[in-house]
Amino acid sequence: MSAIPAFFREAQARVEHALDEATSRRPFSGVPVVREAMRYTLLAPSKRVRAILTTTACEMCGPSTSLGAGALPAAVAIEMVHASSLILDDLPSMDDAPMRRGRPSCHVQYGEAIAALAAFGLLSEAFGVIASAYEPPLARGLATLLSSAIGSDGLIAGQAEDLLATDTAIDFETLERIHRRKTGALFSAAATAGAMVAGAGEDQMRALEAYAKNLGLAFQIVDDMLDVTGDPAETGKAVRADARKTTFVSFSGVDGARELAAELCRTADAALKPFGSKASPLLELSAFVAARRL
Amino acid sequence: MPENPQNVDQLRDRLRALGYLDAPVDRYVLGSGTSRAGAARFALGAGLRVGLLAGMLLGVSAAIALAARAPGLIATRRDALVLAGALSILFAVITALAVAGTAIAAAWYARRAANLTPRRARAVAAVAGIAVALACAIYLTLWWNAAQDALTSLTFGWNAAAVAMAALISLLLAHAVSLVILAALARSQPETGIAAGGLLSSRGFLAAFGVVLFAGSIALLAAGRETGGTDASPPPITVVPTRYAVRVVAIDGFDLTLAERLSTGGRLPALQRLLEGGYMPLRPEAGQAPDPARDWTTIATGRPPAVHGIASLEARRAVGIGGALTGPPAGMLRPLLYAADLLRLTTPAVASGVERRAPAFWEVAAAAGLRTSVVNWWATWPAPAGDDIVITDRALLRLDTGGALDAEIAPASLYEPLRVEWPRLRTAAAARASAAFASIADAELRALIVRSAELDMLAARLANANPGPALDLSVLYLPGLDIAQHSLLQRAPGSVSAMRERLTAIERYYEFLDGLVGALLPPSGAHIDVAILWPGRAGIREGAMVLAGEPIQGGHTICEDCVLGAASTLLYLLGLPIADNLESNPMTEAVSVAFKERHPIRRIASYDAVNMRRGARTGQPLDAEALERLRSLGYIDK
Repeated sequence: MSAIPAFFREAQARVEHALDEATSRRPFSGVPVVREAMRYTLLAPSKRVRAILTTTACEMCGPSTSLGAGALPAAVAIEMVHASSLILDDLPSMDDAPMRRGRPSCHVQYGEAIAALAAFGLLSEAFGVIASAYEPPLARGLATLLSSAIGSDGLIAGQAEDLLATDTAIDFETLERIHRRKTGALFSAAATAGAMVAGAGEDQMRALEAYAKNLGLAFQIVDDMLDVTGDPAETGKAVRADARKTTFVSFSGVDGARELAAELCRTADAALKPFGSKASPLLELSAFVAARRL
Repeated sequence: MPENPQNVDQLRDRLRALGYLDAPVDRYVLGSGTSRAGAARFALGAGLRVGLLAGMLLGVSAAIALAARAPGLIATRRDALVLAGALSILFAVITALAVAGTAIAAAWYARRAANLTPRRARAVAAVAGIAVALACAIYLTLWWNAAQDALTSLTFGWNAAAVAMAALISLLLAHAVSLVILAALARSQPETGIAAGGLLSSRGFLAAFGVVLFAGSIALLAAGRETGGTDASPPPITVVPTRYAVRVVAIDGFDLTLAERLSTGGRLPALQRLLEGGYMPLRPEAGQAPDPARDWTTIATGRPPAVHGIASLEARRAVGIGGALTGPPAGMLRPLLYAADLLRLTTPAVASGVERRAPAFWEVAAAAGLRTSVVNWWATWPAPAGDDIVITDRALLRLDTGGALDAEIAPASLYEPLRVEWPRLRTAAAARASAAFASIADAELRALIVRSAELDMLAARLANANPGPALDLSVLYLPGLDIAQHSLLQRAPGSVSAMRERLTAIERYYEFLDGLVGALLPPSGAHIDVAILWPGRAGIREGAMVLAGEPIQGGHTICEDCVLGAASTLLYLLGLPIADNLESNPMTEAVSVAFKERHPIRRIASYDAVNMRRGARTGQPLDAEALERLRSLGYIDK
């Protein structure tokens, strides 16, 4: 297993704490099982790459590293959207995945109906967190950003195209479009959200978008590789789950995919040159993504 | 549906096309090519971007080679920048138009081709790219080869580096052109699914093709050269002392027939001594108009004008460039320079030592450690920095004008005493010249003759400006006879008596010159005296190099092209080796057997050890004044 960078562990801990608080602090009078299902997936062991991308991007774009704390609500919202997408992705009507994050999938644990409700609960909570944490202009911008990443040209479109492509030969451009929407869109939104909280300029935004775009695809390619070569004990999900789908490995083989993932990470790093030494955490992050085994 | 990538290279290309990975060249070349701009707009934009790339890469290469082909064109770093900039713009415009035209043609073809498949599109783009690569590699290699011929032989390492750079430039431009054509085809037929990539985007193919280009360019370079480069430093020039110092007086506009008649009458005793010694005919090249800068440089270097680089007295200086081009434009330069003339981008200038790329005999002697002096010879300005005396063809003008020295005299320490003494020297020369020609009744004729005589007397006076040890070689050029004859004979006088008076004045000038020669070359057992008698603008077909001195025996050398042998003969008499690349051997018929036995001809590969660097120009320039003076003396048309 690749070594997790030190800054990453600290950031992970902060995000975990914020996620826990966001789903437990507020008074609750609903059906406990839905909240339990939400927290089950949201707080399950995870790398929190997207959330850390948000807080780190915020720290890089601002004058002080303490700004990262200001981006925590946005990071929490991003993680909620991501957890929601995982629950939906694993449903029997979709990928029908039995395991996620090293434990039974949400629908296996709580049933399909509760899982669907938990997913929608997380999705709406995400927007609630943003609305309550930020001033209206920033909140509006972040909500628009998230809605675009999730909506019919984002995650949902990617998931739909992915489902329709199962057991079908797809071309390379279609595969890229699926990945861009399913993975890349939220990666880009995560980086952009952090930059927006810091009040970053256009150049910084563009640099972070280029970083996130390349890193997102590298992340997905590594995912495809791990689906072929990974150990379920390490990855926390079943291997060969994507056997019926066309993946990057289908086009390039495992070695080629590894080479491309490394190149994408190098390109992502190159996009951060304008940030100088402030970019160190994100450079560590891309190195971690390129070498990850889980 | 586009074909799926078959390997990692293709996958990488497709990802680049989708905005991933780092593809700065592709992004730069295509620019907004993915937008919905029209075909013509895309073609123009891409053409402009590729043109800029080509301009930057090819313009600098062409400037390096052009500077080598036209010595003297670049005199300063600023000149190099201006020339590189101008050629970059030229290449940028030509390439931009060519690429834009090709892209429009590709789009036109794509709209009409019924059977355009992705495979065919990639083949079209690859063929175009490979053609560009080959043309570019051949062009750059030939330029490099030309630059080397003119400059110097470089080591294999440098050649390999230059050729590798040429191969890389060729590949880059080939990739760019291929990319533009593929994009133009894809934009015109989006439904065929032509995707980015292709042969010239494949790293494997580019690497292999680059190796082929490199090997081909090396082979081309080797085939185009008679001998390969060498790592050896130039051979040192050594001297075997002969006991004799050599004194050379060069007289322009000399009529041997007239001189022999006057000599027979006992009117030229000093010249007669020389004419009775060794005799080497010097014949101007048939069919060529006389040009003092070209002809005297040929005599001084022993190399033809194509080699020594001074093609004519008149040169052209480009706006913004300190250096100059001599001679009529040739080859691909012709249309460029004519266009520059029309646009007033060039101005007239005078040929100078900057343009000369072969060493003169006095420079070879100085490089061997002999103490030398040269006075008033053509194209000697700017004088090289050093201890040897070089009083250039602009020295008289500088002494007349005053002001800060601009490499007219070397060593510079000679200038100040001469400048202080100059008014007195001028006055004395004017008085002596007036006295010498007082018998000429026609005032205008007398003034013309006196002016020429003054010039010769001042030059002769400067030849004595040697504060150091005795000279091993002294060289003096006297232009007065040529100037006087040219002024007097260019227009026929109105009457026979006037013509007679002019001829008498010219004969008188020969006597005056004889007096100067007598004073400059008094008989001496320690010297070999040489007079180079050149017909100049007198319209005579033969001159001569005549020699006198202890080791010289009377003898007439028979040779077809002795002009090129003058320098090697003088070098031989100084005890210096003769370079293999000189066009002519020393003419030893006039040399005594004893001297030849003591001093057999020694050979040396080349005179590359001679430092040809000119002195730095730091003072007040006299470029315009030099041009004006040459006009007033009749060398350049007004």
